[in-house]
Amino acid sequence: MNGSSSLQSVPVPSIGIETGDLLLIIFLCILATYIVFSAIFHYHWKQYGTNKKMTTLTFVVFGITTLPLLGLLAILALVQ
Amino acid sequence: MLFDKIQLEKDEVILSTVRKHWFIIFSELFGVFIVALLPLFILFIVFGLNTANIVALQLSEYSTFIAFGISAWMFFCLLSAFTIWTHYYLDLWVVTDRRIILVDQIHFFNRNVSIFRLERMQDIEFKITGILPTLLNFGTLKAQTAGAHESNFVSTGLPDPRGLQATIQQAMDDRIAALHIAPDEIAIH
Repeated sequence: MNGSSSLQSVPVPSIGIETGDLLLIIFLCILATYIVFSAIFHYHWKQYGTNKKMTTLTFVVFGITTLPLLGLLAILALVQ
Repeated sequence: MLFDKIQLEKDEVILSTVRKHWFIIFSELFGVFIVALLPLFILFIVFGLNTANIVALQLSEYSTFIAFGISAWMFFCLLSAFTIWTHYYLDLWVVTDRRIILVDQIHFFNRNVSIFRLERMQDIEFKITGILPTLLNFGTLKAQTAGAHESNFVSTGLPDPRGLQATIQQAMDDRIAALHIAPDEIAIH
């Protein structure tokens, strides 16, 4: 068919991104998400928390669990 | 903190602060845990297929990608778990000797705070349906206030709904007695 042959002949545009750059871009997106999430998270607990001890504990656990994972992501993105 | 914002009335006493039953948060967090393990299961299957020579993939070539993908997946699961924890902990009932304050944290930007005066409360009923709720003693509490539209409020997954109903009923009776209102006059008060 005429239409399908013309479709096949169109060259597919491609963007040349190195794998290392791709991981770095993804990591930066994750980092931005984390910063926004942390700000919202912090705001909610500071504003609506009922127990200071529990609020502090939540922040500590949040930091302890997320920051090492974020560090690992950074290392993997930079090493590639 | 929340109690500074609610601004309790003079001499108002908090009788009870209730959050959803621990089983509710446990089941939600368990769901996140299972989802977090999903890429490891997939990796395990792919590795098994590779070993059995059903597919031929050089996994070692993609090790950084795989590690990055799994870490990112875990990271988002962790954020999801903290979101669940936030919604669980910031969602509460505060029963005082004058009011019931219902804080419903639906999403991060969807928060509903309702205040019901005890003297306007008419009917409180609880429902425990199912095997697990019966064994673990959690259920739904439904209350109705007099007069105003949208006067029903329902909360699910509350621990010891029978005890909570008794606490509210007692507080209602005390409040009505304190205000010297005859029970028949509540609806028009």
